[in-house]
Amino acid sequence: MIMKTKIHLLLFAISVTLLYNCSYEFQEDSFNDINLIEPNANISLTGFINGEETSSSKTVQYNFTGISSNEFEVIVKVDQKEIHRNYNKSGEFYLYIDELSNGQHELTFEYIFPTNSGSLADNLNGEFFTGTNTYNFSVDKSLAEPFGIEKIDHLNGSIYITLKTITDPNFDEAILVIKNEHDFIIEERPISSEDLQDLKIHDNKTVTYNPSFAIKVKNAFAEKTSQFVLLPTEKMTFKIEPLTYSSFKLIYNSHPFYGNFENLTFDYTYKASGSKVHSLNPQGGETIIPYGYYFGESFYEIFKLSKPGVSENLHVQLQVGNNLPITNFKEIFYVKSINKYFAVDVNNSNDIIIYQLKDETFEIEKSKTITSISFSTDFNSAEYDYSTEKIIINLNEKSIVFNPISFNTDNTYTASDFDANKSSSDVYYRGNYVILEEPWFSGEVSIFEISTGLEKFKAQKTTSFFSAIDASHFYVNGGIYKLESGEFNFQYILKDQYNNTPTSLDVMAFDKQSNSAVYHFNSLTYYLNLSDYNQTNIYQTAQVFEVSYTNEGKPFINSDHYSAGNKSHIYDVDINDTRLIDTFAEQSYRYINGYIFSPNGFYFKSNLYTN
Amino acid sequence: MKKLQLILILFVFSTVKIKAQNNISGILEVNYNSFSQNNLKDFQNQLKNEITEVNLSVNDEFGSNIGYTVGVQVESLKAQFFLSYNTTGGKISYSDFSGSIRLTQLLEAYSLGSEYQLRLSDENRNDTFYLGLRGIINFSSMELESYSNILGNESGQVVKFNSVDFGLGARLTYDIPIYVFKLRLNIGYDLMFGGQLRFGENSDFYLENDRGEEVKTNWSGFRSGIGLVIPF
Repeated sequence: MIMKTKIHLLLFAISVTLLYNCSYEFQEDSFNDINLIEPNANISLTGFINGEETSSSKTVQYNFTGISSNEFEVIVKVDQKEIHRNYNKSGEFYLYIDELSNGQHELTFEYIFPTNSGSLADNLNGEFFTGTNTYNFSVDKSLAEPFGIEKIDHLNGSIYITLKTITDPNFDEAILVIKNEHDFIIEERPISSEDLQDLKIHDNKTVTYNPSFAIKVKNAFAEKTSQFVLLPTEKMTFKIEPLTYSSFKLIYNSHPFYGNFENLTFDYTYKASGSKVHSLNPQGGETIIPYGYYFGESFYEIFKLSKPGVSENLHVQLQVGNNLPITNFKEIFYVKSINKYFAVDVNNSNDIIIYQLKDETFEIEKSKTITSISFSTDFNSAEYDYSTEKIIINLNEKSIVFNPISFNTDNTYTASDFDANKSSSDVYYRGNYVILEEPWFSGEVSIFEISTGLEKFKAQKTTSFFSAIDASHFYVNGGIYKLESGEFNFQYILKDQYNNTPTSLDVMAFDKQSNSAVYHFNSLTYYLNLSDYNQTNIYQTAQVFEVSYTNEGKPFINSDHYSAGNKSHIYDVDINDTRLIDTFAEQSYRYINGYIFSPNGFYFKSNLYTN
Repeated sequence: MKKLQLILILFVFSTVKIKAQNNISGILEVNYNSFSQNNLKDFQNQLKNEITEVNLSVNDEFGSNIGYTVGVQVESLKAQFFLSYNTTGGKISYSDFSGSIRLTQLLEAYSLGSEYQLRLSDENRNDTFYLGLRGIINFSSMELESYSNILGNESGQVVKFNSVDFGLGARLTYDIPIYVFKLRLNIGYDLMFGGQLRFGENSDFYLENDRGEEVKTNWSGFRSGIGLVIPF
């Protein structure tokens, strides 16, 4: 029994041992011995050097070499903040430093690419080589003080600038700043590194007058400009010297910067005459321009300065002749006995002022307000009687006789003194007579003898009314009347060349010296000899807006030419010819003592009419 | 599993003790058996071919293995009743420096059977030569385990299947008396018919290959053994 128990125990022990050792044992895992070769990856950078100091944002290019895999990713970080990500081995990014603080920063490239080892991880897209390259750079946003200009030399029509020594080179860019004389910056020109090294700039482009120069230094964050240094210059002057009524000489001096451009051209256009580009000498000269010119206005012309890289227009205000001290006056007269000129002006307050002007210089010597009118239209005319040397101011309601020699008013004749019912008539002083003319169409015209106050003539107008300064003749209702022995007698019915009687005349003037009248009707201007009523057609033009006489008794005609603009004519009865000059606009020019006067305030001595 | 095996062994020995008076011997064998498992080999090859990223190798292909048998021989009935345990496995794997991938199929079977024994040798001889005809019911389990470790990232999954198989077998047994035991040597062949490998967590599902054919165990194979017959 003891034996059996031992046997059972033995069996039990064997069984347990067997049972615990008979579970299935698997073979070892298959192992693929792969040789993983570390790649030799390199980064080459363009536009960045490790450890550099930078003061402006910029583009940095990179290129990875030593990586055979086509799959690739790179992340670029500045101070651990991603700024760029790319899946190509070469590329570029913008290193933006504006928001970085001054001081040290870190530029990091983190890149990753598959090993392509063929391993389990690689095949399941999970095995990569990774790399990190870290570079340092520092940001410097501070900026140097601008070094400024030592001196400027103006030589041979060009500009030579000497710079001050550069003691602080902490700037990215240096710029030459150029101002014109109106204090406007006209150019900011980068200064080349060669010029910075030589401390000299040859400015061969600036052509503006009185330029100022300064140096600006800048980086991406700030800029500073030095004091401006002025280079004072003379200016080109242009003068017109009329040669004929349709040509003139342009006289001009040298441009201060003649060395900074090659061509000076003048593209001149004159009305229907056409235009032409004239080449001028940058160092001054004279050029004959075979076109007419404008008188009585300033006019702008453009002179072009140019060479390759330089193009500038000079806007020049030209004028023919000189300026008078008063503008927009009504009339100008010459009083021979005292050799003075007198101008009659109505100012903005409707004051009628008489100025005495000095001979030749036309300076104002004295002036006097002789009366005031209610409306500017109350002024009808100002006339000068050469025989009495009196200035007559014909107004609505009154006429004033002014003595230029005493510079006082002699007399004032008022309409109501002659006819209380015609107090609002226009009044004309005519020697021994005063004419009252109701200004409206078909009003009455009456002639009173001053000494007696008697009405010597009266008519209801069917035409315009014109009278000679001494009432020796007048025109009304188609006829010429003449003063004979204190009576006004009809003399002559005006007729044109077709024997038609004009219904009304627009303009007419009588002249005592030549005992003639000039008038315009139906596109023709006629000269009428008042001694024999011989009528001559002196000029044909569509529209004559004014006729007067020169102080020598020659008809002076201001007309509009539809084809050729405005012209001013003098008809010389002795040679039966018309001399003319182009004018700028409809202006009542006057011709006295060889001067042409524009009521706009210009005059020039001209022999155009007499030659 | 080993706990269960231990319980079974204890059960057998307790039976031995109860039947000690009836000319009964206990049997303890260590076997070395081969297995066909043609279906499972096929299935393993299918799995291998489905993983194309790396070249998997077949490490184990349900090869021969040691098993064991405990049983009770009742001479008066010319029969023996036995309980066998067999295990084998399939394995495909790949590994390199970056990690490993592995798929194992651990197959275990508990066979319950009876054997009718025809004595071929003379009655007066001490050594005995038998022809045994066997009927077997087989409880198989399969543990399909996948495992990967790629760059230290481990993952794995275990799926269990069970089947009930039937089989017939024949073997020649030679018992040689030694002291109070008999040393037993035997050799034979079992023809097994595998049942559906049903999914352990839900027996409505069973294992199929990619052709839609049922994958079954096939424990058929040659059997050999050496053991002790211990008379009670």
